[in-house]
Amino acid sequence: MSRAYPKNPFCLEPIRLPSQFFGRRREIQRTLSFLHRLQCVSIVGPARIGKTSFLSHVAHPHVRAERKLAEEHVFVHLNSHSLADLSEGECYLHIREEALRQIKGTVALDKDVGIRLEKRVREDGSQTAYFGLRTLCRSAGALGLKLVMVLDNLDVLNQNHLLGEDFFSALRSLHTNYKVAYLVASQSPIDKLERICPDGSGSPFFNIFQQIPIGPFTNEESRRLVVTLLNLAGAKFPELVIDCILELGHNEPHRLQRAGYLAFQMWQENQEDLLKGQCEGIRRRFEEIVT
Amino acid sequence: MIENPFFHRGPIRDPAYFYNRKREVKWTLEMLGKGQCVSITGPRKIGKTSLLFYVSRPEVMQQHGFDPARHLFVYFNCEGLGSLKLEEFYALILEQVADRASQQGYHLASPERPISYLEFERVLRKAFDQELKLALLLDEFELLGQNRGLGTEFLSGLRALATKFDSAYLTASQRQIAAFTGHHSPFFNIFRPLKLGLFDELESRELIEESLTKARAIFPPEAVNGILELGGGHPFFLQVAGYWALELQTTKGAPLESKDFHILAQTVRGQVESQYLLNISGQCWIQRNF
Repeated sequence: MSRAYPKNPFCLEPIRLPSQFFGRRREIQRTLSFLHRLQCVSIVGPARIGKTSFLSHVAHPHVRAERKLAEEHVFVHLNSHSLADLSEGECYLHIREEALRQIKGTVALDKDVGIRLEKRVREDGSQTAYFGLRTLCRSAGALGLKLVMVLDNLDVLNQNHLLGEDFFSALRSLHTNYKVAYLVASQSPIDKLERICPDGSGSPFFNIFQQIPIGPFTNEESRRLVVTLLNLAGAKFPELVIDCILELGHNEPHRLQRAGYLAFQMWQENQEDLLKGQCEGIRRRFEEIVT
Repeated sequence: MIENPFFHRGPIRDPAYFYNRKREVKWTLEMLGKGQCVSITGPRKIGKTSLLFYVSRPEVMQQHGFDPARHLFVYFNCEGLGSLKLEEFYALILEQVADRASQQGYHLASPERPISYLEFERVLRKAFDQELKLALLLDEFELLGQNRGLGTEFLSGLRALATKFDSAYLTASQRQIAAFTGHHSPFFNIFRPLKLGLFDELESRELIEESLTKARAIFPPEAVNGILELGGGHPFFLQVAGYWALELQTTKGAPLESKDFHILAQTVRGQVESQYLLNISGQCWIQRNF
């Protein structure tokens, strides 16, 4: 009879479950403290350092509840790729509809709140898309909601040639006027994104943000990631193999997950056994994939 | 865990975190009380919006002799309105005024479509007939200067309103009004200017020490001096410097020492570099050291 192998605990996609998220304790605390006070936060870090996972993690209700921060806030996730080639008006419309959809789907909220909000927005019948979005933010505030608009890959939005100074100025005004904060992530610091901080008059979008950089893990964080995930799967690897994963990982979460994933695959292929000689195999497979 | 009290990156809404500016608040409200328009100017992040929010708080109005039930202070942010037409603009102002009036128990018609100046005036007249007094707080006012759809007609309309009715304007912009409305417009000459500048040392200390009291945290005197130097009297830079000093101290688990200031300065510099580049006050430590 064939034996059911445990599922590979390492993950090659952005992390969605709090139990699979490691490290970043201080960054999480700082981010949530700012959002709790409806201040805007910009997460900055190189590609594949874990920004998307970080955004999902801080937005998770359990993570917020555990820290007693931003518990009542409603997080609206917006995808910059969806906005990448939309005109200004289409962007406002998209944001409004996404926000409405997600607010209505927020489990912790009374169903009636979402329905009332939608009614107000639809009844208003605003003359422009921007005013429609304003109505949403104003009405949400009046219903006691605090919104956090989460925008991942802000660099992509910065490439949208159809958006100008007015668009980001309008987003800024939503924060100034209503109970709305932004949580954004980008590879470049937000103040270096030229469309977002043009050299025009008025106040630039970026200057309401606290920048929180995220970088590589510490050695301890890397080890904790590998050991905890192996424990979760009930797998015991020789110390040398763990060191090999850590070495390939370079303290970068996606590399650690990739190296761990491959090691776990080999462990399964070898009937749940790994010898130190197999480190070379892991290394070879890893290099093939990474390069 | 200590909650860091230096968290403001946007405008301050909670009066408990609004420090100093007593003279400016008093003078502004005195002027508005006399029906004088005031134009607040100052560099970015100096606290213009926070001042607008502060003076429009009912308890602050009351302290300065205003009756919040009769005086409508209506905040109006000009950001994002660059493509608005004149008629849409009047409708929007009226919507905000009607919103504010309804909070005080008055009913004003809120327009559902763009309106002409005459209609705008007609509705406002109803407010003034009910002995309401209006102060329009126009934030980021220079952005209206970029709006070609408004033009001098809009400014003349605003000026006429201030002359006809018991109303006044309080604007906030980086530059003086004449710089973006043009000297040919008589709009700017109904304004009394107020320049919002840096905090002096005593005021800066007050910001740091009162914030620390809120968090029940203490900095050694050298750390306070370090923050003062980094902040250079700029309220926003003081917030950022205070924030990272407290974070550093909490991480370290011991009072900051002079050897820690290098890391602090580096962190603060990284955080505010662009703010500094956009700030033209020319008086901050940050500018001298870049």
